[in-house]
Amino acid sequence: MNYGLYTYTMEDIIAQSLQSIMQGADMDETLKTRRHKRVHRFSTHNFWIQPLTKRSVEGEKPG
Amino acid sequence: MRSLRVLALLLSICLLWGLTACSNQTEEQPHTQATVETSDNVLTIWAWDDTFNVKAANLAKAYYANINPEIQVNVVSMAQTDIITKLNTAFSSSNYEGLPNIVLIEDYRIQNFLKSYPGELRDLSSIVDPDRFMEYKLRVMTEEGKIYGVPFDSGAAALFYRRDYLREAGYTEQDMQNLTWNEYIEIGKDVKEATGKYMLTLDPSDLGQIRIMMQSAGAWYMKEDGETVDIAENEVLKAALSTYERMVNAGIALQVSGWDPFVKAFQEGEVASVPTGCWAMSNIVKAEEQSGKWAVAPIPRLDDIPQSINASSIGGGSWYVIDKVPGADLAVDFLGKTFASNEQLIDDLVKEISLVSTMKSAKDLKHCGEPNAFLVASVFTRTLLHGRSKRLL
Amino acid sequence: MEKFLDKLRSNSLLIKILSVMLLSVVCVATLTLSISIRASEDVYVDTFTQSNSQIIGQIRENMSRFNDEISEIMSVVKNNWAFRSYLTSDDRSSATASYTQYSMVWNLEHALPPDYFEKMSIVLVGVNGSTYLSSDAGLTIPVEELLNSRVTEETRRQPNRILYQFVDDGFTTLTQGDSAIVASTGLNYAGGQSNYGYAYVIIPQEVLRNFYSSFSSDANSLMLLDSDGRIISSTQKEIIGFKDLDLLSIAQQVEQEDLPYGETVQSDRQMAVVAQKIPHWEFHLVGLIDRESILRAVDRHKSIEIMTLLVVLCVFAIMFFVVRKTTRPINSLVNEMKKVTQGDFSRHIPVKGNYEVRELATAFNYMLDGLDSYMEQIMTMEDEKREAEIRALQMQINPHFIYNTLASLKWMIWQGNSESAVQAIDSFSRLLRGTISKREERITAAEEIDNLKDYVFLQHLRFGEQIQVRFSLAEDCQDCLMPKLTLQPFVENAFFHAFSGAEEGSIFVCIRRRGNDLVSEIIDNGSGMKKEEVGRTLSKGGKADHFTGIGINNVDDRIKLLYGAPYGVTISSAPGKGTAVTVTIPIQRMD
Repeated sequence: MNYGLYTYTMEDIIAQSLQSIMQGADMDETLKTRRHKRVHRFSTHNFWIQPLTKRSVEGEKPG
Repeated sequence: MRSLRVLALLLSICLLWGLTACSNQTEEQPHTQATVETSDNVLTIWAWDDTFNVKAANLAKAYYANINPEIQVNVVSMAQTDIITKLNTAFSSSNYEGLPNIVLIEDYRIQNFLKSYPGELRDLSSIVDPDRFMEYKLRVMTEEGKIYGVPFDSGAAALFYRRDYLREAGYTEQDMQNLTWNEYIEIGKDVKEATGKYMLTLDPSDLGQIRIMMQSAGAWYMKEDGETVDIAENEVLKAALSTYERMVNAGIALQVSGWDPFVKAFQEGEVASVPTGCWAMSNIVKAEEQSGKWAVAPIPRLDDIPQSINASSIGGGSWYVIDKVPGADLAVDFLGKTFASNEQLIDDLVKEISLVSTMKSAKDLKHCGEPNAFLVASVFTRTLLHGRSKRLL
Repeated sequence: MEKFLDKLRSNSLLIKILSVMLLSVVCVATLTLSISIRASEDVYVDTFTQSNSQIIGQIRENMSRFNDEISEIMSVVKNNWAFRSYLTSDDRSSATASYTQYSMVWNLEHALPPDYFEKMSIVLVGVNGSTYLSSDAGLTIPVEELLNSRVTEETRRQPNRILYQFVDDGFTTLTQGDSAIVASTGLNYAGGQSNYGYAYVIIPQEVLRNFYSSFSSDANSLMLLDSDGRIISSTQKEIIGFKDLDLLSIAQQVEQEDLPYGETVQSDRQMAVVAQKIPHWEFHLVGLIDRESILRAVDRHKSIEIMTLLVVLCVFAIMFFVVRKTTRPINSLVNEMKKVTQGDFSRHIPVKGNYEVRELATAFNYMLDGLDSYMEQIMTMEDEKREAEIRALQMQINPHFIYNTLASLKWMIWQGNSESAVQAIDSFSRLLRGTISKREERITAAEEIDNLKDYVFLQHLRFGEQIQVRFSLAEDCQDCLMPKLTLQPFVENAFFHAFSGAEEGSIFVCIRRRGNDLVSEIIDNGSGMKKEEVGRTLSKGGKADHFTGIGINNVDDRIKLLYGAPYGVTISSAPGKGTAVTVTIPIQRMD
């Protein structure tokens, strides 16, 4: 099994995709767009995650 | 006249010399030096998980003390992410201050280090006999024919479960063998309803479950070459993600973030099962009052994916020596006489921490077949070994 | 020893000058040395103290920035929906819960600056019992205990601030075992009454020490004090946790009055106290500077002293040679001058050395010459005086002799002895001519004999021929010079006194040469004198009937005046044996 170099980096991306998917995004679409993301050695994402506007979030509204 | 002139000249020279000697004296203040300080007889080992890896290192230390008593071995327990951060910082700036001699590195991460920082880890081919260890393990740590690590635990995955909770939901041990994930989810729903307990924990930031699912089918985030990203058309991945989603939507997964809550969840009896690497065993047995309540079964497999079998692995680490930290030779000797060869040590570790070793002779070891007081099913190791040998990829 | 003392004495000028110079140099050096050492010590300590202030300022900056980082984290936790959601919700298992946790973890990890946060624990606690800790750490105390702890109590009182509080033990697996500072804040809805949770950042001692330990040294220890005076962090681990109210008040004073530093005494040592308040943390950063330690580090006293000594010695050595060179001519001058006091006027002293000494020598020589010529003048004058005296003395013909001789002449003429009278007048006039009229003081010996013959003739005429006089003059003494009327007084004396009692006698006058002296002897075979009488005779002045006023002693005086001490008159006589008078003068001839 060749794990390759970027296991956790990839996993960060997949984790994000997974959240999108669980919120209702289309799996194929999500995985496709994510594929084009450049892979960094260490995950250095510099953006905030905002509540998705596609679907309203169940539970409390942001206060 | 002449003699006076000569005398005056001599005296001026004396004065000058005296002055410079004076000023030199003031520069005698000691400067602290930022050199790496190690004494010749001290080894430092970094590892994570007090109950498993760290305990193993301490046992090796005890073994080595019989061979070489003057050597002092410091085993330091740190979070894995901290270790990784520190190694990266040190290697990228070539500053080895504070680094250990021996470090445990997870199999997922080692390729990164070998490829990004060639020469930082020492070649251990001299102490590691390739015939002695499982090939799949050696593969991740071999670069251009040289073996850079001493293989440690196999990371074989298993399904640990609470017999009492399952029984309450109406399931026996037989029912738990060779499940598919969908079957597992159904059982989970029943357990939730009957006992109010969650079936497992899931950490949204750590997709270990995805890894287990993929690995059981021989798939990964990357293609075989390890370079090409394999996501968009990765059917196994998609199957794993779907399964995951179903698990969550079934409400049987307790969401936790971080190692500590993960361990606390099963130690405090909040979950009915732990589908993860067998290295979790050492943490499970820590909750002594639960003795006799836990059992082990093969890890479930993916539905609709024919390649997926009831065996997988997650994690697993090996021991590495940092080349440029003073004491490297001693470190090599340490590993050579312990993890690389000492079957007695491995045998003890099987007993103490339920190690599933990657040493080929492991299955011949004394303790492997013995009933584990914690587990009713004494097939524990055999199960795992069976799975391990199946999962030779 | 004597020699040594003498040497000292003869060099006393040199020694005096050198002593004064040495003393001055030593005084100046010592004074300058101690002043400058004192001054530099003060400057050094002040500079050190002030740079310490700056260091403290720098540390304060760093800690301020650290507070900013913590603020940011707290801000994220407070404001981001994910944290709020996690800490208030009971949903533990849904996709939402998954998303919430995912977002929370992601946001927190991206808000953490990379440096030291792996050593610190970030703890989020919800009042619903949910917890989240960074870095795989776990709580070491139950959640309820944490929620009821002093730290949380205080936080409840001021939930919208970030409080920094000291705890004896960190309460996570990562921070346990040592004291720490906990930054905490309350999480609540804006305008809300109660907190739904609390956020803590546990800062262990080793992280705190990073701020200031690199600036600490033996001389200078840094520490943090909280507003109660408790020492919450320090390079000296033993004092952490204890209160020091004195130090607190000094620190407060320094801060409020903006002093460069305050002072205190700790374990008998003078300490300077620099202090600054750290905003937000509400702690005092206090530095204790041990003045003595600093100074000990700068202990160059020994080398400076040695240097000074060396310099003084060198200067002294140079001085010694220079001054000696200058005073040597003075010494030799002194030595030469000494010779003068011993009577040697003839030698000039060498003119060498510096200007002043040369002038002295030249003047001295000039003076010597002056003295010399002056002395010569005096001597010449003395000579002339002597000559005048002699002449004066010699001029004195006794008037009575003239009267008596004239009386005798008159008797002879009255007796009809005109032949004898004519001879007598011839002799008398020859005699007078030979003595008075002759201008020169000195006559030849032959002329003196002639004078004597004339005198004897006159005496024979007057008194008879009982006393016979014979004359003997050596051939080679004929033209020897002698003072006028040298021998005459003795012959006269012999005539009058030598033969008392006897009717007849002889006088023998002999002039001859003896070595370089002209010796004239008048010997009589008279009755002689006793020794005392000889002395008396010599001291007598001229008697009434003598030819001149010149007494026998005059003759001696005259001769001594003219010729000097070795010459003169000696008389030897013995009663019954006669008298011998010896007159010694040096041989002198007419040029």
